Amino acid sequence: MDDRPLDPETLGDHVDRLYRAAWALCGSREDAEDLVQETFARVLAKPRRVHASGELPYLLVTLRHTFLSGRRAAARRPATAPIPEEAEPVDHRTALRPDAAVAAHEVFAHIAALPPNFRDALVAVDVAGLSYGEAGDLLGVPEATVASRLHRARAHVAARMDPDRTGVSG
Amino acid sequence: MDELERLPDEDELAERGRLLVAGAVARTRAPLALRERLEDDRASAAGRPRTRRRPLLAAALGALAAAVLVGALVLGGSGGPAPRTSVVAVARAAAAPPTGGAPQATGDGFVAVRVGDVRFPDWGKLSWPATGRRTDVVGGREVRTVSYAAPDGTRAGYSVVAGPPLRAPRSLRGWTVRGTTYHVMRMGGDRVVVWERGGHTCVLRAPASVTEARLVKLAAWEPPA
Repeated sequence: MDDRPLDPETLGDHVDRLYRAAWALCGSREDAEDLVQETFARVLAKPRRVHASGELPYLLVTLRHTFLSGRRAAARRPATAPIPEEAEPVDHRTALRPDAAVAAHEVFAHIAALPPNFRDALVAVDVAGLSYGEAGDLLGVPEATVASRLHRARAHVAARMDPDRTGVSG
Repeated sequence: MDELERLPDEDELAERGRLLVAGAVARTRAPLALRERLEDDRASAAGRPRTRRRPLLAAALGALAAAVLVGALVLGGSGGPAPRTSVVAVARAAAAPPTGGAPQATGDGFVAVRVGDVRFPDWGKLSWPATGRRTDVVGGREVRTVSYAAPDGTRAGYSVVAGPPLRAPRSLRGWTVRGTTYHVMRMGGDRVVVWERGGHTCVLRAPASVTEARLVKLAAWEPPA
C-alpha cells in the first residue's frame, strides 16, 4: 500500500471541513466542536499512517467512528441537572451571526435528522467534499448507492426546509 | 427509520437541496475558539515523547514525570517553549496536580489564597472542600490554582490569572448569572468554565461527569452575606 505518515502540522488545513461534517452529523454546533476536538485527540494520540489519497478521508473515518461511539456513550449517561435558576443563556454567535447563518443552522439540523445512511452520504459528498468514489470507500457502499442516497437526502433537506410547500417535516 | 420515501418533484427538490447545503457549507467556518483548542492540543502532542507501550518502562517514565511535576512550580520552564497566556493554557494549569497542601478556610466563605482582590471560595459546605494549591507561570503570567474534591473523588481546579483579563474566545457559549457571563467549553474530556471577576480571568475545570449546571453553579457561588 502507498501509505505515508500523517503530519500533524497539516491537520489545521482540514478543520473547517471536519467542523461542518461534525455539525451535520450532530446537528449542534457545541457538540460539533467537541466532536472535532475529540477526533483530533484520537488522531494525535499516536503516530498514524494515511493512504496517499490524503488525510481528509482518514480524518472523516475517525470523525464518524468518534461520533458513533460518542452516541453510544451518551445513551448511557444520566440526564444533566437544570442550570441555575438565575442563569440566562448567552450565545455570542447568535449576537454576531447574520440571518444566513441561522439558515445554515437549520440546514445542518435537517441533515443530522436524516436516517444515518442518507445523512452519511450527504455529509461525505456535499459537506465534506469527497468524491463519490471516496465516499463509497468511506461508507463501504458502491458509488451508485452513494449517488442515489445523496439525491434523496438532498431532496428531503430541501423539503424539510420548506414544509409548508412540500408537506414534509423534520 | 432507515429509508426515505421518494418525494414528488424529487429532482427539483434535490437540486434545491444541493444549493441549500452548498450555501450552508460556504458560510460555515470553524470557530476561533475551536482552532485555538486544536492548536493547543497539537502543540502538546508534538512536545510529548512518543514511545511504544512497554509497561515497565512506561511506569518508570510515569514515576519520573510525576516527580518532575511535583517539583515544578513553573509551567513551560526551560524544558521547552512557554505556552501563550491563553484560556486554554490556563485551563491546562487548572488540571495539573496540586503542589501544596490544602489552604485554610478563613471562616467567611473563602480560603486563604487570593490573586489581587479575587479570593478563592471555600466550598466546604457544598461538599467540595479545597484539597491543595499550586502556582504556575503561564506565558509570563502568574496563575494560582486551588484544587477541590467532591466526596466521590472528582477533582476540580479553580485558577485565577494575575494581570488584566485574557481575551475570552467569542464563540464560547455561556450563561449569565447576576450580570457575570460564564463561558463554557470542553477540553480533553473535561468541562471548563471561564469568567471574569475583579478584573481577573478565572477558570474552573472539572471532568465532564460534573454537569455544566453544577460547574456553573460552583463558579457563580458566593458566600452568604
